[in-house]
Amino acid sequence: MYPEWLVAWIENPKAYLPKTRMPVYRFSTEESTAIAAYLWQNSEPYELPGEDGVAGTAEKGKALVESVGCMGCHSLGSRHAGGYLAPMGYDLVPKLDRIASKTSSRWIFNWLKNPKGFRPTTKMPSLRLSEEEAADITAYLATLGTPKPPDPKLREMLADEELAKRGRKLIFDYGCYSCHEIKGFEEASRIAPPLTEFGVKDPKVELYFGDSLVKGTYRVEFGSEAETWENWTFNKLKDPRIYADEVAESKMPDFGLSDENARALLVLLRSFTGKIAPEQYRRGLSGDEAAVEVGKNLVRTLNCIGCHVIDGRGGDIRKHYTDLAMAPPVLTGEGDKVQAGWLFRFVKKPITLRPWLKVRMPTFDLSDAEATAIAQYFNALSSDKIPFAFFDTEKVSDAQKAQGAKLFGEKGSADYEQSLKCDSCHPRGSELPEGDPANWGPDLALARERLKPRWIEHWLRNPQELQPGTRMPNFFYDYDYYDGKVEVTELMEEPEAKIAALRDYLMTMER
Amino acid sequence: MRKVILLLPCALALASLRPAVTQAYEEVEVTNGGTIVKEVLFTGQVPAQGTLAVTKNQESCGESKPDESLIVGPNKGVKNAVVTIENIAKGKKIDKTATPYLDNNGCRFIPHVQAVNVGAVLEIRNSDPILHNTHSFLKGSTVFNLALPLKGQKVRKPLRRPGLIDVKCDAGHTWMSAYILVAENPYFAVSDDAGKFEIKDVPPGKYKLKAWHEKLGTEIAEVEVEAGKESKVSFSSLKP
Repeated sequence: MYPEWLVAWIENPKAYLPKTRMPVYRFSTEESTAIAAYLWQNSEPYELPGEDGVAGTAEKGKALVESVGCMGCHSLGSRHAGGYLAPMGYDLVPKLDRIASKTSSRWIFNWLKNPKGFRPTTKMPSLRLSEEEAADITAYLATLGTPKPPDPKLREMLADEELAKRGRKLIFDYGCYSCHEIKGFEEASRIAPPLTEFGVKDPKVELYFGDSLVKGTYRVEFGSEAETWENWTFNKLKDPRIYADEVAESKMPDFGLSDENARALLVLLRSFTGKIAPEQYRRGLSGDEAAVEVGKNLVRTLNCIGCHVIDGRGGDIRKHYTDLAMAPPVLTGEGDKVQAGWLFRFVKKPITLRPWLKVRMPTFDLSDAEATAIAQYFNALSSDKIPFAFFDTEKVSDAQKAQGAKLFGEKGSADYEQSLKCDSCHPRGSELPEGDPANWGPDLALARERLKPRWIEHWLRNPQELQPGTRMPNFFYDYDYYDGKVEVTELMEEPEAKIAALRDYLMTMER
Repeated sequence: MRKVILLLPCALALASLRPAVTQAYEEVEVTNGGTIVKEVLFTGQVPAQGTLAVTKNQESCGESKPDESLIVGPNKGVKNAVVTIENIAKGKKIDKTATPYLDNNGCRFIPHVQAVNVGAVLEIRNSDPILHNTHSFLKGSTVFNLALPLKGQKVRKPLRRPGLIDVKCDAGHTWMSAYILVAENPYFAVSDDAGKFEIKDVPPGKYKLKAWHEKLGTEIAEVEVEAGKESKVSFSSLKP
């Protein structure tokens, strides 16, 4: 990053990213420069590999940024990404509006190509961009914002070892290492008082009001009495330095909390009484509930819900689509749909399932434990909570297979015109439909390893219920919703026998 | 075909599929109403009618199809504009005998543009020996998405929500498109080859008349209808 950017960021992060979670410490420019000097002198050298590479086209890069999936996590201009922090008013990851003022094109290109190469712990996944795509996106991002002109004096100061020592003291005093990994602070402990019993602090004895009450900014939010636990806490959260004076030092940074967020935190803090009910009186979580909790946390922090609707929530990226068939798939009910083993392999190493989508499922480089947790999560949310689905292929008669194949349709066969012509859109391994792959459906040679047989039936009955907006049409039944009722009409003879034949055909298909 | 009426299994998830609450239209006897007539005109240099390339099923569809998104007749009349009276609270009876259809024929939708009333039952047909996949949208959400794999197949679908429906064929026939205006009142017309339209039995009064065309956009005109008389409205500046 540019050192001019770094100093400005430390001084006031919200000036660059108004919705960042990084709080404001109210450092002076001099203090910010000192901290920057320490960081500068204690950064590990990182050799950017290769030359500048292919020159990209900003216009193509813009189209990629808008389509390939960046908008699932990053906000840009008036396009607001979602994520679990959005309702609280925070961005999960940096808004891209002025990214070119922070770092160079060469760094961005390298980062896009391999985020984990630079920082192994980053949550930024790989979108498996080609050299050309990464160059195009870089060219576009380079148009967003302008770096400050290099300041020779500042750059000289960053090399000043005395200044870095001051920076080290500030980092130590303000506990920057509590959230950031900083060289030289690996063993440092937290600086702030524990909150375990904060909820039962006596305002008259244990909370210091200083001269805050006469400051004019002190707000009596709860009741009429000013010196209460609630009012002290609310004002502390809203203006963390409000009680600071010659007697009491105050280092807590300003998180820019809204009244609503401050009130929510206050309720949480009130519950910190230091008393926890003994184990035997706590309900605890069942195995499925625990799996849901772990999975929910993962899909939040990895921001799967930025793109996918999961368990009825999330999928914020969908608001950017006029044609929902082009949006990332809804994953509510995914545990009923796919076999757990397949899901595990897929989240470990995604493959293209839906050739018509421009948006890509990223590669997160999940650990086996994380991928297992995700598979368990979807299974725990499913209706039968059984991760696997055995299908005895030997029990399917040849006649049934032939019936399924006949319904599926194979172009050129004698009775093709009577078939349902599934082959018109769906590939089966190396047998491909006509036309642009952008208009195809998923490869059904994958169905046997991927799908649960019961889900196939459900899907064939009413695809719109499972995936609103899908291009997969209703073949067998029409569902007409009105006045809180649904009227179901058969669209062809013996729909259930046909659905069963197709299910059996797909589940026995040789690859 | 069998019909089964079920209670909605999950009312919440399907709430978006329910008809929107709309202003009621009151049917009354209209005697000696007026007529609104005339035309929708193209302004400027008339572009040559284009063609759309066929990229799939050429053996049934041919190599190209006429581009129906803008058809201008000899006297600059614009075909397939939909003319409606906006916000008319009461008037003539809705024609419940109408039998609208949408035919997948030669890999085109016939008709390309039509207007019907809420509650009309659309018959979707396939006249081709290939799979057609009629997917209709109202403001981006699916209204119905029906497979028609068989030649001669017909599916009847009630249109329960008002609005402008656009229709695509999701069987990879990306050149196919159609529009269906589902109107709440019976005062609508689709302009003919010469760009002419006629709306009959309009109770006397002042109205806002709207013309819409898929490519040209919309135009609203004020019109006064007198008993037993013709009011002429010429649209010539539709804007996107």
